[in-house]
Amino acid sequence: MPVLARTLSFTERMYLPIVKGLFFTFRVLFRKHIVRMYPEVGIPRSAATRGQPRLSQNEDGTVRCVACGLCEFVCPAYAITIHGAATERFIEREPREFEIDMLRCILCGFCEEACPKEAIYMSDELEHAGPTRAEHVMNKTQLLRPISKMRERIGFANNIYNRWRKDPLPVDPKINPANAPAVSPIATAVPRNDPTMRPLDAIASTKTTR
Amino acid sequence: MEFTAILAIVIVTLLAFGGTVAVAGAMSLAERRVSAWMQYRIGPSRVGPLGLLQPIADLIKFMFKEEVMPEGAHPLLFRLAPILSAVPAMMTFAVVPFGLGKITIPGLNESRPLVVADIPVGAIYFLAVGSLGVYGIILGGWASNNKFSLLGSIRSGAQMLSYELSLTLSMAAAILMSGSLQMTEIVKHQAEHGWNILYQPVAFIIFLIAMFAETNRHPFDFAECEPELVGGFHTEYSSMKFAMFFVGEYCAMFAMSGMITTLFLGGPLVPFLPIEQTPWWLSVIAFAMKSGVFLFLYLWVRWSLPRFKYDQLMDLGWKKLLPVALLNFAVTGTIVVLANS
Repeated sequence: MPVLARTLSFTERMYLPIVKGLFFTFRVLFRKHIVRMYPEVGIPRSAATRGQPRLSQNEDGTVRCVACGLCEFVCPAYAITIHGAATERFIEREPREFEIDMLRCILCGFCEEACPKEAIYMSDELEHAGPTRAEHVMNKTQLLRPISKMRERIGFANNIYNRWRKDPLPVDPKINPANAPAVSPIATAVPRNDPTMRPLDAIASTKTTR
Repeated sequence: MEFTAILAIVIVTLLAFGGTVAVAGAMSLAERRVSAWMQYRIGPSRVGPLGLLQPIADLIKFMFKEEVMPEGAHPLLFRLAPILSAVPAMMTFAVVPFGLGKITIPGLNESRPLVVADIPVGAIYFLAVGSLGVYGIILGGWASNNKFSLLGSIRSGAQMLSYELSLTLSMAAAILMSGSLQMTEIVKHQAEHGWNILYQPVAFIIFLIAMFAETNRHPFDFAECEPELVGGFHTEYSSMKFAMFFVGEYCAMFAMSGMITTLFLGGPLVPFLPIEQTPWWLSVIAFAMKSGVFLFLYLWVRWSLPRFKYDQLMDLGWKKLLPVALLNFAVTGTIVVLANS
């Protein structure tokens, strides 16, 4: 196959366009840099920042988590370990221990999406470093954050995930409802007692034609 | 010769060589800062005020690095090569006059001209010692027992050979103008008749291009050529041995900048100021500023242009620069002979 090349003009053969390039880089010398001095100036964060998952803590210091195990179940990286225990409080059950292995966590946000109690949320904490593996497994006391600090993220996340929920959770009042994602057709289309829906084992035993 | 006279020579020599190495250190920082500015970045700014102590930090880092010698490397030549590369690069600066007149060394009652060795064959010395630098590169590449290093060295040798001709011919044209190989005489001639760049613009441009190739700098850095040859001749070098190559390259750049300044831009001459009325410190500043322009040009070109292809390098050297340099030399010679007769 022939290589197609443009015929160079005389100035191009004399390498004169080099001068044009030189003047460009010289102009750039005096332009404003676009560097963020990282440790001193942090990364900009917002409610949309999906950082490491944290547990929310009520104003009275109690844990919101009811140890239902949904997040543990949904976690694709098996990063979450929950040991539930009975409690005298109204919610009856709370985690005795709640561990997230930050080395396994892939920051996908599934736990936040699965949680029905606004208990686990993706915080805006991004930095995590340490020399040993053990210190990356964070326990309940390390994970707890006051819910007041996470209000914005909770409202933001509810605004997204309410489209999948039968019972919507409160969204951030600052968010314009017009911008909320449309309610999912899955959440509305399938009635609760749909006669066409079969038990799971029936589906499993059905022969597929494929 | 008296003891004080020898001491005065030693002091001036130390000044010149210390200055050269200091410039090399400053250039290693400038290289990174200028490249950063040209890419919308800041560059090293943490060590000391404005990052000015970065070269010292680099030096300390180099000193504590492990020295690795590849299996099958020639032990003597492998160790010798960085020295052979750095020492000639520092030596070339000896003939470059970096100031006018003489300085009186305080406490010694001796005065010395601001040039290390004002020998009558300064230009030839410069070419001879400057070309020795390629031995370090070739030996380093060969002694590494690494085919990429050797390829880099061979390229460097061929490139040096090709561009040495154009460099020498353009230098000869400037020498013809003053009729002397002595560097101080060339400066004096330019003080009387105006800078050589006015008479020899073609030779100036050829020298400018050839000096990039001679110092193995971008866009002619085929000895290193990261994408093709890993690191070229210094692939296998680490620690202070690598630092020696590094310093040698910057010293050679400074010497070349000093040479083009001396040959074409009047060296330490201050514009519109007679040679007798110029204080020595002002002439040193003038020399530093003029060579600084070329040192900046080295960085400017490096961070603006892509690398040439090897055939383009040879094409430019042999088919374009050499005929033009020869023609320029012949025309200059004819005119000088006609003007003198």
